[in-house]
Amino acid sequence: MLAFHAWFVPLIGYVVFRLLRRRLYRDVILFLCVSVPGYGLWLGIVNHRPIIITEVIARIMDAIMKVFGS
Amino acid sequence: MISRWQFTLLINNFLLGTTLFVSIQALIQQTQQHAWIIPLWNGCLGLIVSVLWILLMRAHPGKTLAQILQEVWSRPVGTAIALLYFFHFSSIAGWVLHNMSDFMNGTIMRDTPKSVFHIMFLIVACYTVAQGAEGMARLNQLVTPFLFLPFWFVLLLAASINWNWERFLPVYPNEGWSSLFGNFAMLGYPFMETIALTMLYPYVKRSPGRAMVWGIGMAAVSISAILFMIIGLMGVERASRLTFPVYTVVQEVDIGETIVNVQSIISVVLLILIFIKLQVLIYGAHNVLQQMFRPKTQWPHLLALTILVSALAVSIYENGVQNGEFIKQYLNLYFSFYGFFLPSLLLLSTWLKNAYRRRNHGNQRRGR
Repeated sequence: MLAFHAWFVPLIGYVVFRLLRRRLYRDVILFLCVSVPGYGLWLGIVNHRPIIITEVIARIMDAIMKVFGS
Repeated sequence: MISRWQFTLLINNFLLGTTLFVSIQALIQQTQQHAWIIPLWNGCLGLIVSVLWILLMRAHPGKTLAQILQEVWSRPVGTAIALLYFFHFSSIAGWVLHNMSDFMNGTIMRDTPKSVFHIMFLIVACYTVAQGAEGMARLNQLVTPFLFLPFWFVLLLAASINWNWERFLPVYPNEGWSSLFGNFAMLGYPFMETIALTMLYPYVKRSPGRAMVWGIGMAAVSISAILFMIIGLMGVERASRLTFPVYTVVQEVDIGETIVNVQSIISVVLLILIFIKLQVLIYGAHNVLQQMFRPKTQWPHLLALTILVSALAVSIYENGVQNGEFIKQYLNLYFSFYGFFLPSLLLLSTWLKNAYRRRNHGNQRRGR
Protein backbone atom coordinates (compact mmCIF):
# COMPACT_ATOMS: atom_id res chain seq x y z
CA MET A 1 0.00 0.00 0.00
CA LEU A 2 2.82 2.38 0.91
CA ALA A 3 4.56 1.62 -2.39
CA PHE A 4 1.34 2.43 -4.25
CA HIS A 5 1.07 5.87 -2.61
CA ALA A 6 4.81 6.41 -3.05
CA TRP A 7 4.35 5.97 -6.82
CA PHE A 8 1.17 7.89 -7.34
CA VAL A 9 1.33 10.89 -5.02
CA PRO A 10 4.68 12.25 -6.33
CA LEU A 11 3.59 11.58 -9.94
CA ILE A 12 0.33 13.50 -9.63
CA GLY A 13 1.89 16.08 -7.27
CA TYR A 14 4.74 16.84 -9.68
CA VAL A 15 2.40 17.43 -12.65
CA VAL A 16 0.09 19.63 -10.54
CA PHE A 17 3.11 21.61 -9.27
CA ARG A 18 4.40 22.15 -12.85
CA LEU A 19 0.99 23.28 -14.08
CA LEU A 20 0.43 25.58 -11.08
CA ARG A 21 3.82 27.20 -11.64
CA ARG A 22 2.74 28.06 -15.19
CA ARG A 23 -0.62 29.31 -13.78
CA LEU A 24 -2.63 26.89 -15.92
CA TYR A 25 -5.46 26.54 -13.40
CA ARG A 26 -7.98 25.07 -15.85
CA ASP A 27 -5.43 22.41 -16.82
CA VAL A 28 -4.83 21.59 -13.14
CA ILE A 29 -8.56 21.07 -12.52
CA LEU A 30 -8.96 18.95 -15.65
CA PHE A 31 -5.88 16.87 -14.81
CA LEU A 32 -7.15 16.21 -11.29
CA CYS A 33 -10.70 15.44 -12.50
CA VAL A 34 -9.36 12.66 -14.74
CA SER A 35 -6.47 11.31 -12.66
CA VAL A 36 -8.16 11.26 -9.21
CA PRO A 37 -10.92 8.80 -10.30
CA GLY A 38 -8.11 6.68 -11.77
CA TYR A 39 -6.29 6.92 -8.45
CA GLY A 40 -9.48 5.84 -6.65
CA LEU A 41 -9.94 2.85 -8.93
CA TRP A 42 -6.31 1.84 -8.43
CA LEU A 43 -6.77 2.12 -4.65
CA GLY A 44 -9.60 -0.44 -4.86
CA ILE A 45 -7.44 -2.73 -6.98
CA VAL A 46 -4.50 -2.51 -4.56
CA ASN A 47 -6.84 -3.26 -1.62
CA HIS A 48 -8.15 -6.36 -3.49
CA ARG A 49 -11.61 -4.82 -3.59
CA PRO A 50 -11.85 -3.48 -7.15
CA ILE A 51 -14.98 -1.73 -8.37
CA ILE A 52 -16.06 -3.95 -11.29
CA ILE A 53 -17.21 -1.46 -13.92
CA THR A 54 -19.44 -3.82 -15.91
CA GLU A 55 -21.22 -4.84 -12.68
CA VAL A 56 -21.87 -1.19 -11.86
CA ILE A 57 -23.18 -0.58 -15.42
CA ALA A 58 -25.41 -3.68 -15.15
CA ARG A 59 -26.85 -2.45 -11.84
CA ILE A 60 -27.54 1.01 -13.29
CA MET A 61 -29.24 -0.56 -16.33
CA ASP A 62 -31.34 -2.86 -14.11
CA ALA A 63 -32.43 0.15 -12.06
CA ILE A 64 -33.36 2.11 -15.21
CA MET A 65 -35.27 -0.86 -16.62
CA LYS A 66 -37.14 -1.21 -13.31
CA VAL A 67 -38.14 2.46 -13.47
CA PHE A 68 -39.51 1.99 -16.99
CA GLY A 69 -41.23 -1.21 -15.89
CA SER A 70 -39.66 -3.72 -18.30
CA MET B 1 -6.31 15.83 -43.16
CA ILE B 2 -6.98 12.11 -43.69
CA SER B 3 -7.71 10.56 -47.08
CA ARG B 4 -10.83 8.51 -47.72
CA TRP B 5 -8.85 5.29 -48.10
CA GLN B 6 -6.98 5.90 -44.82
CA PHE B 7 -10.30 6.39 -43.01
CA THR B 8 -11.72 3.20 -44.56
CA LEU B 9 -8.69 1.20 -43.41
CA LEU B 10 -8.87 2.75 -39.95
CA ILE B 11 -12.52 1.71 -39.56
CA ASN B 12 -11.83 -1.77 -40.92
CA ASN B 13 -8.89 -2.40 -38.56
CA PHE B 14 -10.75 -0.81 -35.63
CA LEU B 15 -13.62 -3.25 -36.12
CA LEU B 16 -11.36 -6.27 -36.50
CA GLY B 17 -9.43 -5.26 -33.35
CA THR B 18 -10.50 -7.48 -30.49
CA THR B 19 -13.40 -9.13 -32.33
CA LEU B 20 -11.12 -11.95 -33.42
CA PHE B 21 -10.47 -12.92 -29.76
CA VAL B 22 -13.69 -12.27 -27.98
CA SER B 23 -16.79 -13.08 -29.96
CA ILE B 24 -15.76 -15.95 -32.22
CA GLN B 25 -16.03 -18.83 -29.75
CA ALA B 26 -19.36 -17.69 -28.25
CA LEU B 27 -20.82 -17.02 -31.69
CA ILE B 28 -19.94 -20.49 -32.98
CA GLN B 29 -21.42 -21.98 -29.81
CA GLN B 30 -24.71 -20.13 -30.42
CA THR B 31 -25.16 -20.45 -34.16
CA GLN B 32 -23.08 -23.54 -34.97
CA GLN B 33 -21.95 -23.94 -38.60
CA HIS B 34 -23.93 -20.86 -39.66
CA ALA B 35 -21.94 -18.45 -37.46
CA TRP B 36 -20.34 -16.87 -40.52
CA ILE B 37 -23.74 -15.40 -41.55
CA ILE B 38 -24.06 -13.34 -38.34
CA PRO B 39 -21.27 -10.79 -39.09
CA LEU B 40 -22.80 -10.17 -42.54
CA TRP B 41 -26.30 -9.73 -41.12
CA ASN B 42 -25.20 -7.63 -38.14
CA GLY B 43 -22.85 -5.69 -40.45
CA CYS B 44 -25.87 -4.72 -42.57
CA LEU B 45 -27.61 -3.42 -39.44
CA GLY B 46 -24.38 -1.64 -38.46
CA LEU B 47 -24.42 0.05 -41.87
CA ILE B 48 -27.98 1.28 -41.26
CA VAL B 49 -26.90 2.74 -37.90
CA SER B 50 -23.85 4.32 -39.53
CA VAL B 51 -26.17 6.13 -41.99
CA LEU B 52 -27.67 7.83 -38.93
CA TRP B 53 -24.21 9.04 -37.84
CA ILE B 54 -23.41 10.17 -41.39
CA LEU B 55 -26.65 12.21 -41.54
CA LEU B 56 -25.77 13.76 -38.18
CA MET B 57 -22.22 14.63 -39.23
CA ARG B 58 -23.48 16.05 -42.56
CA ALA B 59 -25.89 18.32 -40.71
CA HIS B 60 -22.89 19.77 -38.81
CA PRO B 61 -19.99 19.91 -41.28
CA GLY B 62 -16.51 20.23 -39.80
CA LYS B 63 -17.63 19.35 -36.27
CA THR B 64 -16.90 16.30 -34.14
CA LEU B 65 -19.51 14.47 -32.07
CA ALA B 66 -18.50 16.37 -28.91
CA GLN B 67 -18.79 19.75 -30.64
CA ILE B 68 -22.18 18.83 -32.12
CA LEU B 69 -23.43 17.93 -28.64
CA GLN B 70 -22.53 21.40 -27.39
CA GLU B 71 -23.98 23.14 -30.42
CA VAL B 72 -27.33 21.35 -30.34
CA TRP B 73 -27.97 20.87 -26.63
CA SER B 74 -26.26 24.00 -25.19
CA ARG B 75 -22.93 24.07 -23.40
CA PRO B 76 -23.85 22.60 -19.97
CA VAL B 77 -26.02 19.73 -21.26
CA GLY B 78 -23.67 19.07 -24.19
CA THR B 79 -20.67 18.92 -21.85
CA ALA B 80 -22.46 16.48 -19.52
CA ILE B 81 -23.34 14.13 -22.39
CA ALA B 82 -19.86 14.52 -23.89
CA LEU B 83 -18.45 13.38 -20.53
CA LEU B 84 -20.60 10.26 -20.84
CA TYR B 85 -18.97 9.66 -24.22
CA PHE B 86 -15.57 10.26 -22.61
CA PHE B 87 -16.37 7.53 -20.08
CA HIS B 88 -17.68 5.28 -22.86
CA PHE B 89 -14.51 5.58 -24.97
CA SER B 90 -12.28 5.16 -21.90
CA SER B 91 -14.15 2.09 -20.70
CA ILE B 92 -14.00 0.45 -24.17
CA ALA B 93 -10.25 1.20 -24.18
CA GLY B 94 -10.04 -0.55 -20.78
CA TRP B 95 -12.00 -3.48 -22.19
CA VAL B 96 -9.70 -3.74 -25.21
CA LEU B 97 -6.64 -3.75 -22.93
CA HIS B 98 -8.12 -6.40 -20.63
CA ASN B 99 -8.93 -8.63 -23.65
CA MET B 100 -5.40 -8.17 -24.95
CA SER B 101 -3.76 -9.04 -21.64
CA ASP B 102 -6.03 -12.11 -21.31
CA PHE B 103 -4.81 -13.23 -24.73
CA MET B 104 -1.15 -12.61 -23.84
CA ASN B 105 -1.46 -14.42 -20.50
CA GLY B 106 -3.32 -17.29 -22.14
CA THR B 107 -0.89 -17.87 -24.99
CA ILE B 108 2.63 -16.43 -24.97
CA MET B 109 3.53 -14.63 -21.73
CA ARG B 110 1.78 -16.52 -18.97
CA ASP B 111 3.44 -14.97 -15.91
CA THR B 112 3.69 -11.31 -16.89
CA PRO B 113 1.32 -9.11 -14.83
CA LYS B 114 -1.57 -7.72 -16.88
CA SER B 115 -0.82 -4.11 -15.93
CA VAL B 116 2.58 -4.33 -17.62
CA PHE B 117 0.86 -4.89 -20.99
CA HIS B 118 -1.74 -2.22 -20.23
CA ILE B 119 0.73 0.51 -19.36
CA MET B 120 3.13 -0.32 -22.21
CA PHE B 121 0.33 -0.18 -24.79
CA LEU B 122 -1.11 2.99 -23.26
CA ILE B 123 2.20 4.87 -23.35
CA VAL B 124 2.70 4.10 -27.05
CA ALA B 125 -0.96 4.86 -27.85
CA CYS B 126 -0.73 8.23 -26.04
CA TYR B 127 2.43 9.08 -27.98
CA THR B 128 0.66 8.28 -31.29
CA VAL B 129 -2.40 10.30 -30.26
CA ALA B 130 -0.17 13.27 -29.41
CA GLN B 131 1.09 13.20 -33.03
CA GLY B 132 -2.46 13.87 -34.25
CA ALA B 133 -5.03 12.24 -36.51
CA GLU B 134 -2.83 12.32 -39.61
CA GLY B 135 -0.03 10.39 -37.91
CA MET B 136 -2.48 7.76 -36.71
CA ALA B 137 -4.06 7.32 -40.14
CA ARG B 138 -0.69 7.13 -41.90
CA LEU B 139 0.65 4.59 -39.41
CA ASN B 140 -2.45 2.48 -39.94
CA GLN B 141 -2.14 2.71 -43.72
CA LEU B 142 1.52 1.73 -43.52
CA VAL B 143 0.99 -1.36 -41.37
CA THR B 144 -2.21 -2.67 -43.01
CA PRO B 145 -0.51 -4.59 -45.90
CA PHE B 146 1.83 -6.18 -43.33
CA LEU B 147 -1.23 -7.32 -41.38
CA PHE B 148 -3.45 -8.38 -44.26
CA LEU B 149 -0.98 -10.47 -46.28
CA PRO B 150 0.63 -12.55 -43.48
CA PHE B 151 -2.74 -13.09 -41.77
CA TRP B 152 -4.45 -14.53 -44.84
CA PHE B 153 -1.30 -16.34 -45.96
CA VAL B 154 -1.09 -18.18 -42.63
CA LEU B 155 -4.83 -18.98 -42.62
CA LEU B 156 -4.67 -20.29 -46.21
CA LEU B 157 -1.65 -22.35 -45.24
CA ALA B 158 -3.72 -23.92 -42.47
CA ALA B 159 -6.61 -24.41 -44.91
CA SER B 160 -4.38 -26.34 -47.29
CA ILE B 161 -3.96 -29.04 -44.60
CA ASN B 162 -7.13 -29.34 -42.53
CA TRP B 163 -10.04 -28.08 -44.65
CA ASN B 164 -13.24 -30.14 -44.67
CA TRP B 165 -16.47 -28.99 -46.37
CA GLU B 166 -18.52 -31.50 -44.36
CA ARG B 167 -18.09 -29.29 -41.31
CA PHE B 168 -20.70 -26.94 -42.81
CA LEU B 169 -23.37 -29.62 -42.99
CA PRO B 170 -26.33 -29.57 -42.59
CA VAL B 171 -26.71 -26.31 -44.49
CA TYR B 172 -30.14 -25.36 -43.16
CA PRO B 173 -30.38 -24.62 -39.42
CA ASN B 174 -32.77 -26.80 -37.41
CA GLU B 175 -34.58 -23.83 -35.86
CA GLY B 176 -35.00 -22.11 -39.22
CA TRP B 177 -33.51 -18.95 -40.62
CA SER B 178 -35.56 -16.77 -38.26
CA SER B 179 -33.31 -17.74 -35.33
CA LEU B 180 -30.26 -16.66 -37.32
CA PHE B 181 -31.74 -13.33 -38.36
CA GLY B 182 -32.98 -12.73 -34.82
CA ASN B 183 -29.39 -12.91 -33.59
CA PHE B 184 -27.81 -9.51 -32.88
CA ALA B 185 -24.71 -10.80 -31.06
CA MET B 186 -22.33 -8.62 -33.08
CA LEU B 187 -24.40 -5.47 -33.47
CA GLY B 188 -23.38 -3.72 -30.24
CA TYR B 189 -19.90 -5.15 -30.20
CA PRO B 190 -18.14 -4.41 -32.51
CA PHE B 191 -20.34 -2.49 -34.97
CA MET B 192 -21.77 0.19 -32.65
CA GLU B 193 -18.34 0.92 -31.19
CA THR B 194 -17.56 2.64 -34.51
CA ILE B 195 -19.21 5.76 -33.04
CA ALA B 196 -15.69 6.52 -31.68
CA LEU B 197 -14.57 7.21 -35.26
CA THR B 198 -16.99 10.13 -35.55
CA MET B 199 -14.30 12.02 -33.60
CA LEU B 200 -12.11 11.68 -36.73
CA TYR B 201 -14.90 12.27 -39.26
CA PRO B 202 -14.30 16.02 -39.84
CA TYR B 203 -10.64 15.42 -40.67
CA VAL B 204 -11.43 13.27 -43.73
CA LYS B 205 -10.79 15.12 -47.00
CA ARG B 206 -13.62 13.91 -49.24
CA SER B 207 -16.83 11.90 -48.76
CA PRO B 208 -16.10 10.46 -45.28
CA GLY B 209 -19.57 8.91 -45.24
CA ARG B 210 -18.74 6.65 -48.14
CA ALA B 211 -15.44 5.72 -46.43
CA MET B 212 -17.36 4.80 -43.27
CA VAL B 213 -19.80 2.58 -45.17
CA TRP B 214 -16.94 0.87 -47.03
CA GLY B 215 -14.95 0.36 -43.82
CA ILE B 216 -17.87 -1.26 -41.98
CA GLY B 217 -18.74 -3.38 -45.03
CA MET B 218 -15.15 -4.58 -45.45
CA ALA B 219 -14.89 -5.47 -41.77
CA ALA B 220 -18.18 -7.42 -41.84
CA VAL B 221 -17.00 -9.44 -44.84
CA SER B 222 -13.55 -10.02 -43.25
CA ILE B 223 -15.01 -11.24 -39.92
CA SER B 224 -17.41 -13.49 -41.81
CA ALA B 225 -14.57 -14.93 -43.93
CA ILE B 226 -12.45 -15.60 -40.82
CA LEU B 227 -15.38 -17.39 -39.13
CA PHE B 228 -15.95 -19.41 -42.31
CA MET B 229 -12.29 -20.47 -42.29
CA ILE B 230 -12.36 -21.44 -38.62
CA ILE B 231 -15.49 -23.57 -39.04
CA GLY B 232 -14.06 -25.24 -42.15
CA LEU B 233 -10.74 -25.90 -40.41
CA MET B 234 -11.82 -26.95 -36.92
CA GLY B 235 -15.49 -27.79 -36.99
CA VAL B 236 -18.12 -26.44 -34.64
CA GLU B 237 -17.46 -28.81 -31.73
CA ARG B 238 -13.78 -27.89 -31.33
CA ALA B 239 -13.99 -24.20 -32.19
CA SER B 240 -16.75 -23.57 -29.64
CA ARG B 241 -14.63 -25.07 -26.82
CA LEU B 242 -11.40 -23.18 -27.45
CA THR B 243 -10.67 -19.77 -25.93
CA PHE B 244 -8.79 -18.39 -28.97
CA PRO B 245 -9.75 -20.49 -32.03
CA VAL B 246 -7.89 -18.22 -34.52
CA TYR B 247 -4.66 -18.76 -32.62
CA THR B 248 -5.13 -22.53 -32.28
CA VAL B 249 -5.97 -22.96 -35.99
CA VAL B 250 -2.63 -21.50 -36.94
CA GLN B 251 -0.74 -23.18 -34.08
CA GLU B 252 -1.47 -26.55 -35.64
CA VAL B 253 0.17 -25.72 -38.98
CA ASP B 254 3.11 -28.04 -39.51
CA ILE B 255 4.38 -28.49 -43.05
CA GLY B 256 7.28 -30.94 -43.40
CA GLU B 257 8.70 -29.82 -40.03
CA THR B 258 9.99 -26.66 -41.73
CA ILE B 259 6.98 -24.33 -41.49
CA VAL B 260 6.11 -24.55 -37.79
CA ASN B 261 5.22 -22.11 -34.98
CA VAL B 262 3.56 -19.69 -37.39
CA GLN B 263 1.20 -18.66 -34.58
CA SER B 264 3.71 -15.95 -33.68
CA ILE B 265 2.72 -14.17 -36.93
CA ILE B 266 -0.93 -14.22 -35.90
CA SER B 267 -0.03 -12.92 -32.42
CA VAL B 268 1.81 -9.93 -33.88
CA VAL B 269 -1.02 -9.20 -36.33
CA LEU B 270 -3.61 -9.35 -33.56
CA LEU B 271 -1.55 -7.16 -31.23
CA ILE B 272 -1.16 -4.48 -33.91
CA LEU B 273 -4.89 -4.58 -34.65
CA ILE B 274 -5.60 -4.10 -30.96
CA PHE B 275 -3.14 -1.23 -30.80
CA ILE B 276 -4.96 0.50 -33.70
CA LYS B 277 -8.28 0.12 -31.91
CA LEU B 278 -6.79 1.40 -28.66
CA GLN B 279 -5.25 4.48 -30.24
CA VAL B 280 -8.57 5.46 -31.89
CA LEU B 281 -10.36 5.13 -28.54
CA ILE B 282 -7.70 7.11 -26.68
CA TYR B 283 -7.84 9.74 -29.43
CA GLY B 284 -11.63 9.92 -29.01
CA ALA B 285 -11.48 10.25 -25.22
CA HIS B 286 -8.62 12.78 -25.33
CA ASN B 287 -10.31 14.90 -28.00
CA VAL B 288 -13.56 15.03 -26.04
CA LEU B 289 -11.58 16.57 -23.17
CA GLN B 290 -9.67 18.93 -25.46
CA GLN B 291 -12.80 20.17 -27.22
CA MET B 292 -14.93 20.49 -24.10
CA PHE B 293 -12.48 22.20 -21.76
CA ARG B 294 -9.84 23.64 -24.15
CA PRO B 295 -6.77 23.08 -21.92
CA LYS B 296 -3.49 24.70 -23.01
CA THR B 297 -1.37 21.58 -22.49
CA GLN B 298 -1.67 18.08 -23.89
CA TRP B 299 0.69 15.71 -22.09
CA PRO B 300 -0.62 16.08 -18.52
CA HIS B 301 -4.07 15.04 -19.74
CA LEU B 302 -2.69 12.08 -21.66
CA LEU B 303 -0.91 11.04 -18.45
CA ALA B 304 -4.18 11.39 -16.50
CA LEU B 305 -5.92 9.32 -19.17
CA THR B 306 -3.21 6.65 -18.85
CA ILE B 307 -3.80 6.47 -15.08
CA LEU B 308 -7.58 6.24 -15.56
CA VAL B 309 -7.62 3.75 -18.44
CA SER B 310 -4.97 1.50 -16.83
CA ALA B 311 -7.23 1.30 -13.75
CA LEU B 312 -10.33 0.70 -15.89
CA ALA B 313 -8.48 -2.06 -17.76
CA VAL B 314 -7.95 -4.01 -14.53
CA SER B 315 -11.41 -3.43 -13.11
CA ILE B 316 -13.61 -3.50 -16.23
CA TYR B 317 -14.63 -7.14 -15.65
CA GLU B 318 -13.81 -9.78 -13.09
CA ASN B 319 -13.32 -12.85 -15.29
CA GLY B 320 -14.33 -14.33 -18.63
CA VAL B 321 -17.58 -15.81 -17.28
CA GLN B 322 -18.79 -12.49 -15.85
CA ASN B 323 -17.73 -10.70 -19.05
CA GLY B 324 -19.62 -13.25 -21.15
CA GLU B 325 -22.76 -12.79 -19.04
CA PHE B 326 -22.55 -9.01 -19.36
CA ILE B 327 -22.07 -9.25 -23.14
CA LYS B 328 -25.04 -11.61 -23.46
CA GLN B 329 -27.46 -9.67 -21.24
CA TYR B 330 -26.57 -5.99 -21.38
CA LEU B 331 -24.01 -5.10 -24.02
CA ASN B 332 -26.32 -4.51 -27.01
CA LEU B 333 -28.60 -2.29 -24.93
CA TYR B 334 -25.68 -0.42 -23.36
CA PHE B 335 -23.92 0.24 -26.68
CA SER B 336 -27.25 1.15 -28.35
CA PHE B 337 -27.61 4.00 -25.86
CA TYR B 338 -24.38 5.58 -27.16
CA GLY B 339 -24.51 4.33 -30.74
CA PHE B 340 -28.19 4.69 -31.57
CA PHE B 341 -30.31 6.44 -28.92
CA LEU B 342 -28.18 9.57 -28.30
CA PRO B 343 -27.25 10.13 -31.99
CA SER B 344 -30.94 9.69 -33.00
CA LEU B 345 -32.01 12.22 -30.36
CA LEU B 346 -29.26 14.56 -31.53
CA LEU B 347 -30.32 14.27 -35.17
CA LEU B 348 -33.97 14.83 -34.25
CA SER B 349 -33.02 17.93 -32.21
CA THR B 350 -30.97 19.24 -35.16
CA TRP B 351 -33.88 18.79 -37.60
CA LEU B 352 -36.36 20.41 -35.20
CA LYS B 353 -33.99 23.32 -34.57
CA ASN B 354 -33.44 23.86 -38.30
CA ALA B 355 -37.19 23.68 -39.01
CA TYR B 356 -37.88 26.20 -36.22
CA ARG B 357 -35.18 28.53 -37.57
CA ARG B 358 -36.53 28.31 -41.11
CA ARG B 359 -40.05 29.04 -39.88
CA ASN B 360 -38.88 32.02 -37.83
CA HIS B 361 -36.83 33.32 -40.74
CA GLY B 362 -39.89 33.02 -43.04
CA ASN B 363 -42.13 34.87 -40.51
CA GLN B 364 -39.57 37.70 -40.20
CA ARG B 365 -39.45 38.12 -44.02
CA ARG B 366 -43.25 38.22 -44.25
CA GLY B 367 -43.32 40.79 -41.39
CA ARG B 368 -41.08 43.12 -43.37
